[in-house]
Amino acid sequence: MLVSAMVTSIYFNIYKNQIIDNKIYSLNEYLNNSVIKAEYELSYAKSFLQHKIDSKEAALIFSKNEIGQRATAPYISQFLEQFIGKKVYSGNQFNVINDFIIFDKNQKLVVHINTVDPFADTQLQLQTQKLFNSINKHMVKKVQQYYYFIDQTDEKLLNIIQVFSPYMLNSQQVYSTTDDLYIIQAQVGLPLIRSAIDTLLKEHNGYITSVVTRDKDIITDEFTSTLSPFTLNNEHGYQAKIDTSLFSMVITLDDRYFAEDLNEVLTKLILLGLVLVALGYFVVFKLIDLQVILPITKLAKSIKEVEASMSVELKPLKTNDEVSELNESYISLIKKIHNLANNDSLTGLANRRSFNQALTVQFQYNYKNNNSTYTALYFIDLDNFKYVNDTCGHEVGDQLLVNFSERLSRLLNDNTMDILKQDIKSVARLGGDEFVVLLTGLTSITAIEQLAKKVCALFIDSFEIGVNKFNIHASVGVAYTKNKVKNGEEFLHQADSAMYLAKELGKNNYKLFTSEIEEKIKNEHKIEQQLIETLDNDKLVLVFMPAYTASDVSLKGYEVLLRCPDLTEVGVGPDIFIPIAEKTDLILKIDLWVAENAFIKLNELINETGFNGFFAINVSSKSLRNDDFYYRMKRLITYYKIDVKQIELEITETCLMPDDHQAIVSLNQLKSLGVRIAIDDFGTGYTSFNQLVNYPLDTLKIDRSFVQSLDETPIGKKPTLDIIYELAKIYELDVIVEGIETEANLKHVQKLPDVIVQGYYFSKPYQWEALVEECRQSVLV
Amino acid sequence: MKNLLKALSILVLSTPLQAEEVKIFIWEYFISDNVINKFTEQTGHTVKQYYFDDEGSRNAIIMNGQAAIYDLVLVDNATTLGYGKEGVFNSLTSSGITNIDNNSVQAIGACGEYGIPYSTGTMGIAHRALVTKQTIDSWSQILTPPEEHVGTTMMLRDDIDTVAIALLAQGLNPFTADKEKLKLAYTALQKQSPSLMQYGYPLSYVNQEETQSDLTLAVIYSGDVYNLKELTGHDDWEYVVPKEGTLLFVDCFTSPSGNQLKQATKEFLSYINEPTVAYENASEMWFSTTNIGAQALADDEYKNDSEISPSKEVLSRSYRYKIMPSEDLVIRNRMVSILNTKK
Repeated sequence: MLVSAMVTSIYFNIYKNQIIDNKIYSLNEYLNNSVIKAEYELSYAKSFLQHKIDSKEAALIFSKNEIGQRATAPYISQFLEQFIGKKVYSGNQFNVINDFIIFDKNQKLVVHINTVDPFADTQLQLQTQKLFNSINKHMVKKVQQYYYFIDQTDEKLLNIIQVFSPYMLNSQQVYSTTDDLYIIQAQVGLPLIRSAIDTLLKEHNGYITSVVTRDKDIITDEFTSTLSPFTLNNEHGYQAKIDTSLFSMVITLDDRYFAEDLNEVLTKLILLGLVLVALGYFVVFKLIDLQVILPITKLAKSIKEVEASMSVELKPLKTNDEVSELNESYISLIKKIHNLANNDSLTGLANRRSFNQALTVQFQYNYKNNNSTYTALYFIDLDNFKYVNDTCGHEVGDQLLVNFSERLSRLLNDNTMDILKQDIKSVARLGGDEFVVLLTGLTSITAIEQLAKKVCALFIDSFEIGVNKFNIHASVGVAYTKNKVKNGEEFLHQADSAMYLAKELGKNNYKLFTSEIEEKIKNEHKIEQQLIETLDNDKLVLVFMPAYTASDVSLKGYEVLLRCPDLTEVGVGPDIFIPIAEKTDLILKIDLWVAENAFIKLNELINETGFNGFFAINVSSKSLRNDDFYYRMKRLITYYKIDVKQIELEITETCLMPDDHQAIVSLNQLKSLGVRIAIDDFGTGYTSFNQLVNYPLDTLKIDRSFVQSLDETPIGKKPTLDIIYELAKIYELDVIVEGIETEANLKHVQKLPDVIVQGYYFSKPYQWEALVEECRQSVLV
Repeated sequence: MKNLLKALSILVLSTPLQAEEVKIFIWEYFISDNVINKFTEQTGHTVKQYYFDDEGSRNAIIMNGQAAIYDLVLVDNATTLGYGKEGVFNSLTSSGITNIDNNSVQAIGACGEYGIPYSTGTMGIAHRALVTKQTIDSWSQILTPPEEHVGTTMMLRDDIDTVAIALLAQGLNPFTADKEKLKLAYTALQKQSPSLMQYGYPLSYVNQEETQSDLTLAVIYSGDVYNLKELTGHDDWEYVVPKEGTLLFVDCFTSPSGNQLKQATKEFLSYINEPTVAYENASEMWFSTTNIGAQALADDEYKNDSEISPSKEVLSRSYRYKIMPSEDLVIRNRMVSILNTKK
């Protein structure tokens, strides 16, 4: 007993510190996240505000004001719609603005929007009034300044004041004067860090307390926040502090905070101690029992034999005593362990470990013997499984995998298939949606293909799970050999590669591994290595495809394109190397390289020519879905002081799956940077116009194929290009038409108002020097 | 840009095109295919319809200039007058369109300079007689639906009409500017919200759901009950003008100012205002025409239908739409917009 108490006390002291450290660590993480989240929310709110005043509806109101008129009902109604209309809600955005008032510089009301109370009065807050008194009304051209203060009536509300020259807006064309000034007072439902802290207090009721201090009248022109994490303080225990430019907050932990967890551990340790002591007694007692020593030694001997031979064939003893019982329990335990170690718990098929063993054993056998038949490995990958998992949840996804593995097992055991049971060496799930079948005894390549076809045919009928039906397809890669090959791993690799090629062929295809495939893989590897080397040596090159207003062919901006000179020499363009880079994380590095160098070039161009058009930068699907990409872009934009209005990010349409919520979130995140978002190659993917409304888009780039098919439009019918254009305009999107190659193409597009065009009819992509030259000239004009 | 657009459109117009297409933005089921086909036979011009199902969206399209792709837009007379002042429609007086005078003087006055009368009607309540347990005759039954209609009721989403219903139910003037009275109306509308299935126009809903429709009680404009029966397959739909009175509307054809009034459009307007054509159209689509000449041709069934030709007694309890001061419209728009986001 004494020993147990001592051990318990030692362990408890070790655990105690660890538990406290862990708790403090997770609390600090929570605080840190709240601070970052507050910054994100604020920048979201600002971009939401900016989006409103950049809107066409706002421009109409400003232009009324400019000629001395108040906006009337229709204008105000349409502007309100921007805040609480259907479009705002379905677009995955959330309205954070409660009250929104625009004044002109003489404190005259321009428009008042309230999204909570229809009868709300127009109220000028104290701080806004003070700001008015201090503003220099003769301020010049370019003003864009924010101020923040906490609402006088409700401290969970923040007010954002935006002072700006309408001349700075996207819709600036409507303003004739450049020295005008507007002041917006926007009350937003952002409690900043405080709601996160409230949640914390509620979750740990009574054990955590916070004290907020602030100067009631404070107004700041920058919201900053610094966190001093929880540290042990002699007087008050653990304390953390968050200092923001609007308020300070001290958070204190009560000692009792840890008590609950520590008591629980202590109880567990005491129990464990007692159990150990009891067990000890039992074992000693048994050991002393001499009558058992001998049989146990025997049993131990046979168990050792079993372990040595790696088989599970431990025979039941014929006697009927404790030792034989122990022997039988041991047998069943070994079987269970074997099952756990070798089978996939979801489908009951073999797992990767057991498959690897089977593969090794088979190849050792093949190496030692002469083989008259083929050994084949089928690598099966479900094509759109991830989509099912993402949209219907893991439970449905799991059920689908089980259904498929049942179909596969049924096929292999089907008598008409002529497959001998002993020839099926392994049917395994390697993980995720990847399955393999290892077979021997195949007499011909035709027989190998026959089975591959049958596997593909398993996907003809859809999979029914509950009320849902899923049309799932697979890609099957097959490696086969008759030779004495030592390496099973290479064999798996071959099947995997063949599978990838089958995937490129499209839905439900199979592919056998051949020497051409081997060649192709080597070639792709070479290209990848060259790309890595060029990127490391900073030798990639940007070229620039100009974009013009269709009507008068005036320069609007450039699409930034990537070239790898060493690869260009051997005839490999971006159409080949980008997909290769997209197979790995290399594309992320490339995308960031392109963005950073485009920013550098943009600044250079502005300095040299006063360029004020846009740079459009392509973003790959992989980067879009990577959080890190967003943070790095944010940092690059700040570092290079880029005016985000000059940047458009292009996302290829085929990146966007129907109902792709993750993509919507990512796009909204990028959009919050203030940049414009364009959807590239529109018309080649599956996006319907109804779904477009869900994406925070500014621009639609219509795929070149629609220009090429202009000539094929039957007489009297409207070309598809025009239909897409009209729909895009209904969704208030800018339109860029790509692939203008002839004068006839241009003439056609010129009939559609407000279109931007690109194409070889104007020029091939420019080298940097030519671009600078063009900009100089167009600025002169 | 505007000049360029003008130049382009002149270029397009001056090319000698004989047969033109007239694009009309209108409610669904509101113009007869037979009438359109005859127009094409007579003139060679074609007519293409585009549908809206919500006045709010239609008005947004008019205000932001996108309506310029249409030649004609059907607009209620309150909006025609109010928006007309903002310069979003072409003036239609002395534009050389014939037969306009066939319309009643009141209707011509209601549509004003920028509109040509097309139809008229009342706002009322439609209900499933087989479901209803007690007589439906009051707007307050829409605001507080009887038990059997809770959760299967639809309420209009319209700045003027939605608020007017709440005011009429309390015996108040639907066009009042009094803030206290509007607050009473808003409170009643807020209380109504939880008993509704959804806001919107019942035809849009049943058009999607068809026989799967759960709707049993709704606010509707006269003439649409026929479509309600057809689409849901329920014959027990009845139309009632509540005892507190209602609003009388006139729908007008307008021509968006971003688009020039072309010859085919003028010909179409002249055609649709011929008495025989106007009657064929109105009796087939079952709505109340503003065309006096057409009314003279009407048979007894048309004349005696309570939906098409409301009784004098109903008319005496009702209000005509009128143009309201901007502030009154803004506050109604706010009430309805905010109400709508809460559901």
